[in-house]
Amino acid sequence: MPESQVVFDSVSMAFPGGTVALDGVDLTVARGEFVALLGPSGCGKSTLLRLASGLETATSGSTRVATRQIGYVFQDATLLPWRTVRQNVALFAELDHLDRAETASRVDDALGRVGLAGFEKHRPHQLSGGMRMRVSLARSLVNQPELFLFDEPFGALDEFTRERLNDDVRALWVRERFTGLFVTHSIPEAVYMATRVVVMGARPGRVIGEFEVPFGDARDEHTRYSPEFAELANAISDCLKGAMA
Amino acid sequence: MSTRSRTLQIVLPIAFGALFVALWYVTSAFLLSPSRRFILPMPHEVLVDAFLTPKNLGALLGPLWTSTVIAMVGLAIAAVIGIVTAVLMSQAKWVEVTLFPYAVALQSVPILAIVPLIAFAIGYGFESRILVVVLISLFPIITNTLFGLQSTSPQMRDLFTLKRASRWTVLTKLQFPAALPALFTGLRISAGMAVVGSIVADFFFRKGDSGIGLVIDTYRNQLNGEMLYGAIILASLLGLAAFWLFGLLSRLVVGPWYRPNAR
Repeated sequence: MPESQVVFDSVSMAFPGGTVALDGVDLTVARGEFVALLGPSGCGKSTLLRLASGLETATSGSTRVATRQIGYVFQDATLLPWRTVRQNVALFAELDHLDRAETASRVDDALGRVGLAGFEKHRPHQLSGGMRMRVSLARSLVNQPELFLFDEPFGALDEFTRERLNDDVRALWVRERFTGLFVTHSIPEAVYMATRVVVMGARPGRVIGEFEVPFGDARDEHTRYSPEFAELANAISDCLKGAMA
Repeated sequence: MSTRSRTLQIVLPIAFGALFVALWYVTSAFLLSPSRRFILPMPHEVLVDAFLTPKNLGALLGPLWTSTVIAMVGLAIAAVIGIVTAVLMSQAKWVEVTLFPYAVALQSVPILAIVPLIAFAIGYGFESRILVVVLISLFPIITNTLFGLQSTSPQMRDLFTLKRASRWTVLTKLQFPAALPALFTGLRISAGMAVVGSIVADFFFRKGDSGIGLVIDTYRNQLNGEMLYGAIILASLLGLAAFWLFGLLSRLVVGPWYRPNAR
């Protein structure tokens, strides 16, 4: 049994006003796994990320995370508009009070890995939506994350940009083997990205099924159109429908 | 924007200005009897008498400068008080709840109604003129700065919470930069108000160097239409200049990154 990176232990979350976002969720994510959290809106998948990152505390149950080096990519790039690309990417290093040389080398490295070298001096408003998301990715890479949280990233982008960025995230994962938690409401995206798909149901939010993804590291558009892919996507679709019926 | 509409944007205001001057001439030359012409002297008479006669221009520029200094000193004080107040309000809800009604009340008090009180309490000198300027220009700075400080998105604040950033860090690295566009909007509104306050205060607090308001009042008493209009035009230009200056400052400071409507 590989070492666990994130453990949700019968986690429940109720918001003031009585909305139950999560009801008794048990989920263990092993180090180096890439888990897609799939479900309709209101199933509490984003709440799980907020719990893992420490932004929120569960009403009951416990969340254990084995690292403090966390990357977090939101649906919006949430860049600070007054900062240049470089200054945006340096934000976390700055908040961690890293020294100048260490910050510079991490920022250069992160910019290079998302293909933004040469855009350091640009401001967010000068970039396309896809490039802004790359800045957001680079900002998290500076944390040298062992756990990487993706909250419906790239959801606001067009299909092509989104697939390219997904491929880039996968390539990063193949190289670095961080632990990934990827929130999405797209079945094909979940299957394409993850090593395991966790299906969640809404009202109250809970885990209703888990699917191992049998494809290896090398995935491309052919994977998306293979019979095995369709079969798995169908099974997951049935699982979701069963929960909503 | 097409070339045609851009040309219109320049031509139409100029045409309107020309029409205005023409109406001014018609009124002065044909509608007013010669004995009443001092009410509205011809535009070129104002130009020649008030602006092209060095001695007369000097008599206007000195007071204009005094009014400018009073407006800017008052505005600077209002900016410091206003920004500090807005920051305190943004840091503690109870400060906002406690002070905001009084900020609104301050805005609603007719400044002329408290002028006698100011005279009664601190006299007829410069301090009173500056106080009028501060009172009249404080509110837009407080409300706009506060709005700006509170304009950050929850996700942006999450970025700082992830790193357990201190309040001070969040204020200096997130809230304050985010508030700059709104802060400059407030300063620009207040700059215009400060000029108004400075001129209004001249009418009441007459100790020390005359401001342009006092000069306006004096020429009115003397029925000196040419100089009266000259002084009014200069006072208006001062208001425009203050507005323009802060517009320029804003473009220099936040122009490189601020795009309204962009996220």
